Amino acid sequence: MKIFVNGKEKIISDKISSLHGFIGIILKNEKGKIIELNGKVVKKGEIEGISLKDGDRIELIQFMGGG
Amino acid sequence: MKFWKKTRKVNVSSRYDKQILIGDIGVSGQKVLSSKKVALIGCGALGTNIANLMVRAGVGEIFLVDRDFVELGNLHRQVLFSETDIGKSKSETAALKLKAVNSEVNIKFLIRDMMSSNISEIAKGYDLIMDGTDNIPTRMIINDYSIKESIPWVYGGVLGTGGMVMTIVEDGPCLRCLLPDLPEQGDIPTCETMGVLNTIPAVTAAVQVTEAFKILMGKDPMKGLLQFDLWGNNFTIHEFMKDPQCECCGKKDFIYLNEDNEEIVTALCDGSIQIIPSGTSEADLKLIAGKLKGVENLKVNPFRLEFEVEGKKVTIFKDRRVIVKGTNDKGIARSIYSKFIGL
Repeated sequence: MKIFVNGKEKIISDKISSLHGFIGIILKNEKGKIIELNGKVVKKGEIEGISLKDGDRIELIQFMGGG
Repeated sequence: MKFWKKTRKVNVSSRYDKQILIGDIGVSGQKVLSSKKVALIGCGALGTNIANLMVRAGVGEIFLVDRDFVELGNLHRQVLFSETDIGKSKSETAALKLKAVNSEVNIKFLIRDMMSSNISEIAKGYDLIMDGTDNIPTRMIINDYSIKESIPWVYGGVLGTGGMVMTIVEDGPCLRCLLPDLPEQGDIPTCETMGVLNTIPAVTAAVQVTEAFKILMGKDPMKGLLQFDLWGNNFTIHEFMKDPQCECCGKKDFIYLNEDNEEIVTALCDGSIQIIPSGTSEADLKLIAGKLKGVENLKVNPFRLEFEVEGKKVTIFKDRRVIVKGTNDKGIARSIYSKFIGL
């Protein structure tokens, strides 16, 4: 399956069919990042129920708190 | 020459000539700007850059709010302070410097933390709130107040070689659409652990102030979240959607304005300060320990994490309670908490 992560194309196994799986397996060190899927911010409690499909666009955003 | 006559007739000072030449601003835009009042929360790296630009541009009034005092380590990026200011109040020092820059601007200051209990007292009647803060809970208070009272605000954040800006107006999306779940303690890196290049607050503040000018002059602000990394040559605008179910701009449930949700900061009998953050989750002490930089005597076990920094001993417990020993100043304890623990 082809998806886009922060604008870059990424081919992932069809076995990783959920956003939760993708975040958990592929992106182990992304804790604390904002996850946006196709322009919508995903809440923590929603991640498990979301299936990924070909062409999905995921943005992983590191919130910046310094000032 | 015709231009000079025009500006004098409407009594706009020649100090703004170059700004008035911008087609979208003109004399009328400058006059609008000079009638607007801005509350600036935080006078650190972002705050001093923001205040500097807004005062030079001729905003009508600016209210500088910060409880902190100038330290040597601030001087590389906090542009209104010099070596002789070390130990002085940031908001008062910034106000004095800026009065000498532009006496046409009404500059006020307050040496205090902005919290849910006093935001109304601070920001009521202002046209815009500018974010110069360094922590998420304070921004959430600003966000709730802004949506509730229909006062726009401009978020800015910096970290390492990158920055972020987002303009929030009444209709949303708001900061809680972007951060529906508060990050866990220690999950968000801070400038104390990751550092910050001194060009970053300058650029971030410049974008924030440009957004402010657009809002104050009735132009359309930027939509979405601007994120950039100047070292990595990367600029992105994340155009995310408003969440109709957002607790803040959707459902108008302003939990951060509820003083019961505010972190509890108490002076203990032994002269130390205890901070009990709002929320009930447990702290991942190993994770926090792994991210701490520039601290001494770091010790961690399953129940507590201890370290020393800035001459203070900090203990974090599993239940997220924090004790700062070596100060009886609640503001200093909160500042160490925000800088090193990350919320």
